[in-house]
Amino acid sequence: MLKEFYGPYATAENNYAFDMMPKLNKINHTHIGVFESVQEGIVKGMMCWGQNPAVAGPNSKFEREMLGKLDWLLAVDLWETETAGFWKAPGIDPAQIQTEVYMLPAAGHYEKQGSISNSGRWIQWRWKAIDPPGEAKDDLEIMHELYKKLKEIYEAEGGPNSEQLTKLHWPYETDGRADITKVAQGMNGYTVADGKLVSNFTKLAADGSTACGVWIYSGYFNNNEAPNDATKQPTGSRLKDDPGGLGLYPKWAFAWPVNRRVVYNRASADVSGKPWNAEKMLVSWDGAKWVNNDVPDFAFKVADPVDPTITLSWIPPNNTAFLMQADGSAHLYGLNAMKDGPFPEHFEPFESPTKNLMNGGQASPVLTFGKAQSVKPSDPEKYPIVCTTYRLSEHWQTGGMTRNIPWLDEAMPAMFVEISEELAKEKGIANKDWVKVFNDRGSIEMYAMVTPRFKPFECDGKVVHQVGMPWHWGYASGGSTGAIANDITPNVGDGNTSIPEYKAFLVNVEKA
Amino acid sequence: MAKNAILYDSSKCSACKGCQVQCKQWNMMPSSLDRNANEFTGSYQSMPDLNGDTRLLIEYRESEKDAGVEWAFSRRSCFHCSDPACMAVCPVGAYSKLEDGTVKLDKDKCIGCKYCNGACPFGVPKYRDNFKVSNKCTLCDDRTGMGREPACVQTCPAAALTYGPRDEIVAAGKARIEQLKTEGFTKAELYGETEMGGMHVLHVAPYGLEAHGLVRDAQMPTLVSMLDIIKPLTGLGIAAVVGGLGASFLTGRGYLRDEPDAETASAPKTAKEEK
Repeated sequence: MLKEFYGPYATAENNYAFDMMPKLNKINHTHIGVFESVQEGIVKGMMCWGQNPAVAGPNSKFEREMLGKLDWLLAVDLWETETAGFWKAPGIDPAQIQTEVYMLPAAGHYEKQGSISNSGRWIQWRWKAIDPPGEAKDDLEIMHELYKKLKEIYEAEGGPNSEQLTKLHWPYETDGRADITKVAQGMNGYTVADGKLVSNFTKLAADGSTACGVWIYSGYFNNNEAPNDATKQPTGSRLKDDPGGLGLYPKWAFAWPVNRRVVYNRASADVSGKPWNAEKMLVSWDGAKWVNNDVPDFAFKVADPVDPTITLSWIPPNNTAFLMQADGSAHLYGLNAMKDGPFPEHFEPFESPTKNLMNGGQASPVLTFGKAQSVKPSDPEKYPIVCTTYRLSEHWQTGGMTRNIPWLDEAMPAMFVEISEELAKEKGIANKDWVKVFNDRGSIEMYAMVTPRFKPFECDGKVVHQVGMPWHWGYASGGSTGAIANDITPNVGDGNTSIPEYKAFLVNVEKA
Repeated sequence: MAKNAILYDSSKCSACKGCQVQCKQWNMMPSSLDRNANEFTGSYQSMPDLNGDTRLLIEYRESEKDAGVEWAFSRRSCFHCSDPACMAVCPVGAYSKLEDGTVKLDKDKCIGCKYCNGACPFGVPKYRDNFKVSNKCTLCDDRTGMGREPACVQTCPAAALTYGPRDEIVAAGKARIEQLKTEGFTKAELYGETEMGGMHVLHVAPYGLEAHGLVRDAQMPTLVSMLDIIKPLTGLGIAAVVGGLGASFLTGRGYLRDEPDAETASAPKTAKEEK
């Protein structure tokens, strides 16, 4: 990886430029943490690339205030999002905002070439169908231009850690234009001496003779017969063969690592190598050798080091199935990997209408940012109603794309909160009334959707009401505008990853 | 040519509205470009009813039952009847029946009199104000004529919509009802096998016809049979007479449909007045 990042500059003498890599410090650099760092004056500039924290962030009203504390903000997106136009939010006086805001129009996914990866680990190449409109450019082109300009400035003027940029290896252009194919080759990996693509990560060496940007992707772009033609690469393949009839489609895109469709597939067979279900055979030991419908995820043969298609010997089945564990066995929990555990324990959300009846604890003792001033925890006495947020099938994330498509916008045209018939009666709210949902973080107004699908709970002898809101609306471009649900979600995070606690918090509801 | 039909199986439908949007895309039907122009219906339903620019609408009805909340989804669009009231009432012959059962409205012949809007027992054809003609589902005859499925069927991710020879569709619908009954949907019914002479869009209604807003025993309006008798005399003068009759018939006839609003969904079913 270092050889790809720093190219000829990375040598054994300078430890392959390892010191150039940014190192973690004590500061929490997750989404929530970045905005705390803005408040503390540590972060002064921000690039928001296809991200819209002004709507998507927890406690988004606070995050918008923080955007106003930045010296500069760069927003790269398809439309002017709420983040790009944060200084136009309702209740904000643009004259009071000093942040310099740059908006760079980006290309949509049919307007550029490149790969997409799904949560099933498939990396699929997509081709450009049309040119982007106006001055819009694809992400790589924007990054390429930005890099060249920054490098020029750093070379002329220097600056802290300038070598990280001036020594960067950036061979991703053809005839002066950014070239995604070259990025793909760099991610796949190649032999430095002759530029030949490596077949997969097992061919990578630690002596600087090979370079590879992303080792887990290695093998997705490895065809030396046509190295510049994505259609001839594993990631560009769209063949529908399905040996075994298991829906694995091994020639439809590429699955990282090494095109393995099911990880830990050794566990699909018993200790003797006999599939638990003969009709769903991924790997099987026939008494003399392994037969397989998927790429085996375990040491199954000794291959000839020169020609790996030649099998020297087969490794018979044993009682290990988990290659990534040192002992090869399944583990009930990860040793020293998590801040909580090792066993599951029940904790109430950060904001809860009830005491934790399961054990002596209340909320998780390792959650992050629970003590941050910006959080303004909801007092259950003042805010006894549980609130959750979710997505709708008609809209995508903060709605930038879907609220700009009239057909989808019409399909779900307004922000609403779902309320049970019981709570509606208690609060004098009728269906379609305009209501206010609020806590100390903010107060937002929207339509009420009164429905028997929501029901009050009984918790610790008390009736507890729950309401729910989608979070696809905002004030920026699009066919419809509406309240930002995340204005009232708490910016606290889970102990291990700081994933925000969007889904459970406390509010009150009134007729507006 | 054999008759073809669509089967809409509400028990498989997730009400994602993919068909509704795909219908608009394939047929190039617009949605408003004005900001915040679309009304909030009080439920997940996009709009209160079909309109001049909307030929297919996924409807949501919910009601509380002992076993829990029944959330009934329906596909509101043209059923392509074998005895189509719209065709019988049209004074200019803008409607025709294709060999595969499709009831086709020729917008070039339509004079925008709206008789079909009121004559249809389901209120399906809607007036397109900017084009001054009525509008409804074509069963994608521009696609089916080339051996492709209707756009809504092709896009359905849940396979709740299928298309094929009508006898096979009827058999599949009946089999599905039997299966649903064994799974506890005791009120499950198939709609469209015999209604209006047999329809070319059939609807699996797991919670029963009423729960899905489907008109039980739909009838050809009596006025339509009168029109059949005088039809050979069709001419401008007759159209004027019919216009007079039609006006009274439009105000007098209502079709039974529920309010889509969640607030009234659990209230006793009431007839909606025709506007």
